[in-house]
Amino acid sequence: MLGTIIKRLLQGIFVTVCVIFISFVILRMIPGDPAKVMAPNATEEQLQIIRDNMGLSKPILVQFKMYAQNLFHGDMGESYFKGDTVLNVMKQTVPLSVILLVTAVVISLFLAILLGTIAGMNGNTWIDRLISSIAVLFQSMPNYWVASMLIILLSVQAGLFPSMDYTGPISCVLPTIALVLPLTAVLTKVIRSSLIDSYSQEFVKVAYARGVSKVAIYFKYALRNSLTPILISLGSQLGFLVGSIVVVEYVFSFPGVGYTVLNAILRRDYNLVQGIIILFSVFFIVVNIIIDLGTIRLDPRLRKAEGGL
Amino acid sequence: MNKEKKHRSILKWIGNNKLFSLGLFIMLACLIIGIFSPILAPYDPAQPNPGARLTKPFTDPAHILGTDAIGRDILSRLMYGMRTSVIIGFCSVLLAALIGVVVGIISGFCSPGPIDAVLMRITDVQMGFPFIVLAMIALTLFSPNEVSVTVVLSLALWPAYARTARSSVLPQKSTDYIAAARLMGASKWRIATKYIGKNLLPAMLPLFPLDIAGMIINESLLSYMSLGINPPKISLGNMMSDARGYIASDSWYIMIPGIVLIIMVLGLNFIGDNLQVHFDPKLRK
Repeated sequence: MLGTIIKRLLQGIFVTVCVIFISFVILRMIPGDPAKVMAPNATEEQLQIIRDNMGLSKPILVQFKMYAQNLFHGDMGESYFKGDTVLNVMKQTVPLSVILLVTAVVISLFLAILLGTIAGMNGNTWIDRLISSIAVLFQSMPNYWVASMLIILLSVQAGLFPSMDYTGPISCVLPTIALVLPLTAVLTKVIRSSLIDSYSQEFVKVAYARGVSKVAIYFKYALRNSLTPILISLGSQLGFLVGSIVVVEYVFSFPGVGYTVLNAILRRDYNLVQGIIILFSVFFIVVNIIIDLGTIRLDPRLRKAEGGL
Repeated sequence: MNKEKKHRSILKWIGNNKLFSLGLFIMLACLIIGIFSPILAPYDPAQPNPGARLTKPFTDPAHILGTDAIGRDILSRLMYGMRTSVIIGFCSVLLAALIGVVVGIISGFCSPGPIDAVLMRITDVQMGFPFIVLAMIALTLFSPNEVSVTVVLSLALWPAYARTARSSVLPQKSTDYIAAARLMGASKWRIATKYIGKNLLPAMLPLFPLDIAGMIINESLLSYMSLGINPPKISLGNMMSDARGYIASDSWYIMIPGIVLIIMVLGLNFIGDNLQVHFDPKLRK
């Protein structure tokens, strides 16, 4: 197990370094001069001074070396537009997005386990069909459209929640619902089919025959068995989830990381974009490693293949 | 089994799966509308009509689904938008599958070895970029149009196909029939295409409709954020982006393109889900 952890960590570090380098190079290839975007009326001389100050006139590899050295000391440079360090901008925006993400995942898991269990236990009855159909429907809806519908229904017509900007925790409600609905749909389907699968397994039938109570069978065998598929699908939904957060924040003009990175790209705010890409990638890779190790821990068959735990 | 019998059993299977048939019907309808939109559309989608701005749907028989803020016919615009969705959805998945399968087979064949390791690390790096970030960077670097959006979408998708292909090549490598083919002198190319490639289909086929659905949503999402197909070109996403400004006064305007998009995606999901159940005997019960 320790070997596996070290191997995954090394892989993760390698991938992170590649992602940082590639995004660094690509970002500098984007047409458009940040100096010009910053000071549209400046003369060529003034522009040159701005470029020199930002280190933009040096060769790209030298720029990268400087960046990597600073990064190693925890310095990601300054955001040209926010007039603040990238780290400080992140400190303001990241917590908001993390709140959205964590509440959305927790609520989705709770709802999905509930609905998935109801559907899975009543396989092929009208309840199952109803839940499954609703799940497919919500899975097919684009996030930003769901968000817009929420604005129309709960904000414009009912006037219950604000539709723009951040004005306190109440602003998190609609974005969270917009994230929860599709995620719940996906997870519900996973839990349903994995429960149906578990209940047709021999060991569950044996447990029944031995007189183990239904509740015990559900918690000890069936639900435990579906933890692995839940973890795996959470992992595969992660990229989608990050995308959803960006779009949903855009729809609600919610000042989290997603909205910030979108604006930063439009303004060619290299350092900020670069910082957020690193953040996203590290988050992405770390969560994937955790999920990988989690599935190995949960599934005895994989545990054996990895050399015991 | 002779060919006719095989066809009949496929037809019978389709007849028994109502949701699959519904999905197939929706997909074919979308394809036809998408391909023939220049003929089918009742109006020129770019023709403004200042006399009829923001006509509500089902009120004016001349514009069944109403008109937008500068009086363009929404039905016609929807048809052209579906054309964009269908073309980009199908092409991006096709491209991704092509790259992914080739990389996956090569990687599976060379596993374990340096080529396999390098190829898999490339997919790792590719997967280390969340899709949206990749798309945002790439589409600011290359001006967004149909081709660049298709390329970006397939760039995000191909590692998944490479992984799937590789993991279904690996267990096949040690099977007896591959050994038999090798003994009979089949070349590596022949084994890869004729034996292993053919057996990838059950793993791949259900992915196509599901991924096309996903890519259609992603395209509309990029266009919605002005990172994809931008006006004057028409996409369901940029129609909804237009409608953003009228969300309080004319909320039907953003609903219509969304509903069309959902119907398309739903149809593809029906097809994909049923294929998945069909190819995975575990789910068949």
